[in-house]
Amino acid sequence: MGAASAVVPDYLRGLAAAHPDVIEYDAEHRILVRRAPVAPGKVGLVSGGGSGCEPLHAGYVGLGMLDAACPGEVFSSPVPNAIMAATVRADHGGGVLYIVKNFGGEVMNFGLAAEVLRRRGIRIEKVLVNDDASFPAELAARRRGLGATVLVEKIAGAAAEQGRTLDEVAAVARRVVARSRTFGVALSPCTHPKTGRRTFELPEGEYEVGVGIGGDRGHERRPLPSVDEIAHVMLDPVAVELELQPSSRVLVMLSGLGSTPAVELYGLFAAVRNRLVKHAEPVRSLVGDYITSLDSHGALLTVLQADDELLDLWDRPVHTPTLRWGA
Amino acid sequence: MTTTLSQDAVTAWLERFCSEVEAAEAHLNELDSATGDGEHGSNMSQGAAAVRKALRDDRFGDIREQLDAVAMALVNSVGGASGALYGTFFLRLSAVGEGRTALDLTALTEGLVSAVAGIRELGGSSPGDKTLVDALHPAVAELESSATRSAGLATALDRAATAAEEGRDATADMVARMGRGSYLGDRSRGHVDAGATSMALLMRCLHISAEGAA
Repeated sequence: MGAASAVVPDYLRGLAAAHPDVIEYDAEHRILVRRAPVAPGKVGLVSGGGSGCEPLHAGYVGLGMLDAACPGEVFSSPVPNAIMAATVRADHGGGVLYIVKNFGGEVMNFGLAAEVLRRRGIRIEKVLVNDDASFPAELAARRRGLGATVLVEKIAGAAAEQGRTLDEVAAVARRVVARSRTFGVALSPCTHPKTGRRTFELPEGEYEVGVGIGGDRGHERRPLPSVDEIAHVMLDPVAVELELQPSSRVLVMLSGLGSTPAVELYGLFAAVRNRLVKHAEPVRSLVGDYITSLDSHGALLTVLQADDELLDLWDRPVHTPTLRWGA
Repeated sequence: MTTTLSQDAVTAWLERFCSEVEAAEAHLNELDSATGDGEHGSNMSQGAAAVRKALRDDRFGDIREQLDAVAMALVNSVGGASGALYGTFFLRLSAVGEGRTALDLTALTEGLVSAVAGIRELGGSSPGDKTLVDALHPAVAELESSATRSAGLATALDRAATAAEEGRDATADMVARMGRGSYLGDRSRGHVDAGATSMALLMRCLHISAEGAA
C-alpha cells in the first residue's frame, strides 16, 4: 500500500475506475455517488463510516442500494463536510435517510451534519443500526452496528427505488434492524495502516469472542474450539435474541473479516447452517467478505428474521460494485 | 498581572496546544492502543495542522469567530468522536466570545461550563466513564469555585489544569463505558484514557498562555 494518508483515496479511485458505469468518485469531498438514473422524488440513502470495513459502504453504492457513501479515514467516522456533501448529492427531493452504525463518532458526526442540513431545508431521517448480539442486556445501548448494515442498505434501498416516502423507507429500515442480530469472532486482529500496529494481541490457539469491526475486541478470549463449537458460540445468542421458532424464515449472512479463506468461511457456514435448521428455516444466504475489518481473520454471523415484504425487497434488482442481481 | 485572556493569548494557547499534541503524538497513540484503535495522537496531530491553518486567518473580528474557525477545523480534520467532541468544546466556548476581544475569568468559566455540558450532551457521557470528560469536568468545577473566590486568572487556570491532570490520572482505574474501550469490560482497567490526556494538555496550555500574558 502507498502512504498511509493515501490509502482511502487510492482505494476509492480504484473502485470507481473498476466500476465506471456504476459509481462516480468525488475526490474533493471523498464521497462516492451512484451513476444510475434516479426517479425525481426518490428517497436518497446515505451511509458511511470508518474505512477498513470494505466493501462497506462504497461497495454498496448504486441502483437499489445507496445513493452516496462517505468513507472516513481508516476506522474513523467521516467528517461532517463529507457527510453533508454526500447528502446534497443524494437528495432528489424526497428527503434523505442516514444509515448510521451505533459508534460514537458516527452518531455524532451524522448528527452534526443533519443539524446543519435540516436548517437548510433538507428532510433527513436516521436509522441507527445496533445489531450486535454479543452485549449483555445492561449494555444494550452500546451495541455496535454490524452486519445488519448491509441488509438495511439493500432492503431500504429497494424500498426507496419503489418510490416509497421517507417515513416508509425509514420504517422498513428500522424493522430490518429490529429483526437482525450479529455475532462476531476473530482468530486474529488487524493491522492498522496508519500506525502499522495490530489493534490487539491474540496468543496462538486462542480466539476473541464477540468482536465488532474496526479492529474492535470482543468481551472475552477463549481457547480455540472446533468449528462446530464456534458455530454454536455465534448462533445461540442470535437465536435467543431473535426468539427464533422452527417456523421463522431467516436470511443468513456470514461475512469474513478480510483474511478468512473461502474454505474456512464455507466450512463455518456449513456448521452454522447445520445448527440453524434446528432453530429456523434459512431461506436466503450470503457468504463472503461483505463487512470486514481490514486483514482480520474471523467472521460475523448475521441473521435476519424475514417476512414476505422483506424477502421481496431483498430479491429486488441491485447493481453496485459488490452486490448485483436482477439488474 | 493581567486579568483577561486576549485574542493573541487565545492564539498562543491553541498554538501551544498544537505543538504539545504533535510532540505527544506517539504517546497518545500508545495510550489509545490499549483500549481504542491507537490513533488518537495521529488524529489530533492532523487536527493541529488544521487549527494552525485556521489561526493564520487574521480577519477574526472577535473571539467567537476565532474559536468557531478552530471548531470547524477540528471537526472536519480529526473525524471520529474526538473531532466532534473537541469541535463541540470550541463551538460552545466560542459563544462567550461574541463581540469580545478578551475573556476574563468569569466569561472563560461560563464558556467552559457550557463546553463541558455540550460535550456531555453530544457524547452522552458522565464523569467516571473513562473519557475526556474525566479531565474536563473537574477542571471546570475547580474554575467555578475559583471564580467565586475571585482568584487571579493564572492561578485559577493553574488549579484547573492540575484538577484536569488528576482527573486524567484517575481514569487509569476506571472501566470504560464509552467508545471502543467499553467493549473490553474489565479489561479496560489499568490504562490512562487518551482523550483525558489530550484534554488535560489543553487545560495546561490554557494556564501557560495566561501566565505568559501576565
